[in-house]
Amino acid sequence: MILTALLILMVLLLLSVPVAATLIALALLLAELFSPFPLINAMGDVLWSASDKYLLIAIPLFILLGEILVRTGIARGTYRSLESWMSWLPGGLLHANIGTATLFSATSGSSVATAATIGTVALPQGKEMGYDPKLFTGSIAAGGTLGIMIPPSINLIVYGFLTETSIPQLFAAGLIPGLVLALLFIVGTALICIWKPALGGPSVSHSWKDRISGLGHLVPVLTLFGIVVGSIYAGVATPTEAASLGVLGALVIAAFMKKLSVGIITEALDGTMKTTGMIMLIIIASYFLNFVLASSGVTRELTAFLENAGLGPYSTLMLAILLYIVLGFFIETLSLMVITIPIVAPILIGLGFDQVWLGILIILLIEMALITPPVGLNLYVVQGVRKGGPFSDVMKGAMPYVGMMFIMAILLVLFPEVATFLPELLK
Amino acid sequence: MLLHVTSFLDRLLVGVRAGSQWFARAGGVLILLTVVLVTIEVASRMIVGRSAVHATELTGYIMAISASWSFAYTLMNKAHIRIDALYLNFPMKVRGMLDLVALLSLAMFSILVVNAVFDVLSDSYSGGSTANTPLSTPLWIPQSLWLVGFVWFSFALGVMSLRAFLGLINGEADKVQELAGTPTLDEQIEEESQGARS
Amino acid sequence: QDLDSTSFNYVGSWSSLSLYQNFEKPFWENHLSEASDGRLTAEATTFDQMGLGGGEVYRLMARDVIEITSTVADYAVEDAPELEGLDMPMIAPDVDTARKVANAFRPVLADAFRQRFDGAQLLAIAPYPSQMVFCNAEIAGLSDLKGMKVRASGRTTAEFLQALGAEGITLNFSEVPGALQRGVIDCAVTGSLSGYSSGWHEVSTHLYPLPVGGWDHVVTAMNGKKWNSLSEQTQNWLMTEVRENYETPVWESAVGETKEGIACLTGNGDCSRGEAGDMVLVKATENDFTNAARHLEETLLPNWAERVDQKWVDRWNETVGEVTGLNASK
Ligand code: NA
Ligand code: NA
Repeated sequence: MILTALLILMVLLLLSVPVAATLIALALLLAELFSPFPLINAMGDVLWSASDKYLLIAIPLFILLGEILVRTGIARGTYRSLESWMSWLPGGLLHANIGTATLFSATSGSSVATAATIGTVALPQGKEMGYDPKLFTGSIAAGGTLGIMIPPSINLIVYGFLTETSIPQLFAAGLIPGLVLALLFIVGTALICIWKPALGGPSVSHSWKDRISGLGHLVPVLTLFGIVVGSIYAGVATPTEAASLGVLGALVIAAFMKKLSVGIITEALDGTMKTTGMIMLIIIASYFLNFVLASSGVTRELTAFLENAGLGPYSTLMLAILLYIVLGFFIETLSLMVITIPIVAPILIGLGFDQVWLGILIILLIEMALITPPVGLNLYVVQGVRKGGPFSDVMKGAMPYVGMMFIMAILLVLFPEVATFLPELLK
Repeated sequence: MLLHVTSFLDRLLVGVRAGSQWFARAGGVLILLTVVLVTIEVASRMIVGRSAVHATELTGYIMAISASWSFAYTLMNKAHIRIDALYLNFPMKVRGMLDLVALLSLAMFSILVVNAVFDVLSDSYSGGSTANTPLSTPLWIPQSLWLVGFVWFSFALGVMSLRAFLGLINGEADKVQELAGTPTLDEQIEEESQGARS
Repeated sequence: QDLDSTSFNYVGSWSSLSLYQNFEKPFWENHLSEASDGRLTAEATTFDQMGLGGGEVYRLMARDVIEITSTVADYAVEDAPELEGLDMPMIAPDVDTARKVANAFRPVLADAFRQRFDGAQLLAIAPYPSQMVFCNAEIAGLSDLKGMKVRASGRTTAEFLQALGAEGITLNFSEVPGALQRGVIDCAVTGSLSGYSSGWHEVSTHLYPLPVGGWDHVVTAMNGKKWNSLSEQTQNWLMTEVRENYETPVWESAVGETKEGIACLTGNGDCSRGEAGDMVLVKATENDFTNAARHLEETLLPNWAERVDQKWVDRWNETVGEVTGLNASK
């Protein structure tokens, strides 16, 4: 059944049927073939449950936050400043992409929102300077995924909810792995560009005067970081509420810098809704697909597979990682979490793995799923912002970063302290 | 005759485009409203220690409604994701047909949803369903606003599909591309024409 | 015995909680087929694994998508406010009373299911551990909740807290521990053991051990058409099996689980599930019960009576009213 599903999925996607429609068509077909029940009767209820979701509002809010930063020029300022500090590295602007993504991740809980923001400021620069589009777009898609590892993070909230894990602990646990991963991206990018300079761009050295004077451009984003993360840790707001406060903060900062106008707000709203429409249609479609998969027994097959394999802790862990990588090719990430975590987490926690650590490992695998084709939201977002050029550029460009994430996964398994150190300290 | 129909559809499409834009903007305003609600909620919790507006519940409805109101706008911007790796290698005529298939598949999706959501809505209305919260919101209110978005999306898809179909049988390949092709192609065409000019 | 040969699809409650793992899943997936010599079988999944919220499963059952399902009755009161009569805050301070209330209300609930969900058959009523109050603030009794910011789910619990003078805060469940820790809220309501396994004892100091949030009964029901397709003998056999091998064990374990939950949270008593916390156990006073009864009669029951038809109010008074000595009226 899984093979049938994958085959149908591939064919429809390759015929350029829209992703959302493909997922629904697949769901209907599987329901017809494999379930004795009229699952289509559940469509309205399932879609309403999927849409009426308080946690999801953080996605458009973080996108709006990014749009405001982009339209008011704040994001470009941040990008320029980081560029002056980082583009001496082999690969040039690619490092500014990753650096800016890391910084914005600390104010955004959503990976797609982060990728959309960085993409909007970085892509015109890269094009102007004649960068090879593959690694350039790939670094944005991959850098954007840091948004859910570095706190705040919507996906960590979802993991905490599904597994009853403390969310402050998870947030603390995500910080160091997020920074290590960013470092891995930078080192990896530099190595690739030393090996094949054509994939990157010119290393540009800036004077110290430039660098220091550019630091002022970091103030707005650092202030926003203070508002979003500060309001969470000061006990003023929950992580989802903090997204709203972040938007308010961005509006106030922009107004303060005299860069706000009705026209800019309208543009920002239009941009937000365009991206929201694209993401939400895929998300609700994949919720229905998830419902069909669970109803027609795929979930049960998976559980039985993992439980009956009768392997030791580490072999089971490897199997679970493999499962996430394979499913991550095809399933949108929020639904991937919903469908797998209730199965995988209890088994692995039962085998003795720390549940905070496991959360971070799963988030890393989810980050990977965000940039693996054919279904990878971050790839789509970057392609959407780019408005041209073949999708395969983004796909290929993200590949090396998938490899770096895999190395990160190995590091996490070998040195769990990377994730558990900070939460232990906070206890 | 056919000419009348296509020119009527073209005029209608201008209206649909504008309507979709306004639906999206209204959805955007709802998102801004969330910011206001949450700010009031956080402030009232800090200052007087109570939930003033029950932002959690209202925010869920806003999410559903603003999303469904954005779908048609995303469509007009050709931003519903299609994977065009193979598509770009096909001749114009095949691409036009795939464009029509893409529109029809979304239309099928949307019409199914309208149908299903209508059932949910009528159950909520006739059963008097209210949210299990202090607000006890009658669920038909947010659900009908949610439904409106899908109805408009279906309508927009219907008009576009019909226009694309007529374009195909009329042999207006450019028109179909402009209407429903993938954005990659627009970009390529733009670049080529720029190249030709310079 | 001469049983029908058939299979069911079963959608259970929260997959991470003990009720599903230790009772629902073993009963439907294993026990049923063993006891019937393989004539009756079921495949089980849960609403959270399907990406559902839990409130819609009875409706899906009525639409023939699901055959047998269990969910927290309180989640489904959107469609059927009659279900609220089963469980009110503080109406049953201990497991025995809660069970008496549930048994008394059972025939009424069965009729409500039949009417609201297209002829559905009520199979079982099972409790979650008592829904207690966790506070990250000093309290000495129920009356101290006055003026505190308390997170509660469900309409009746919110009404009860409001009657106490507490400020009902609406927050997403997943954000509660963080909110407690950082003082966004003072208190929150959940089951004793699930509070323990989610680490709420690490972020709160005082535990009020009475069911301020009721018992969050999980109610199991079967699609009406499916039920009617079974022979009478099979129907009777199934009802007996469900009662003896699912419902009764859950009620019996509820006594132990509530006790162990308190032990694990406060450190008084044996905790086999891990390191015990050191929360302060708040003692309930006679006064608390009188106040709770007063709020029920003055506020909660009249509010509920307004939401349902008079006949359900009358039947409630004849059943639960008899057991508890309370009276509901519009
Ligand atoms: Na983040
Ligand atoms: Na993927």
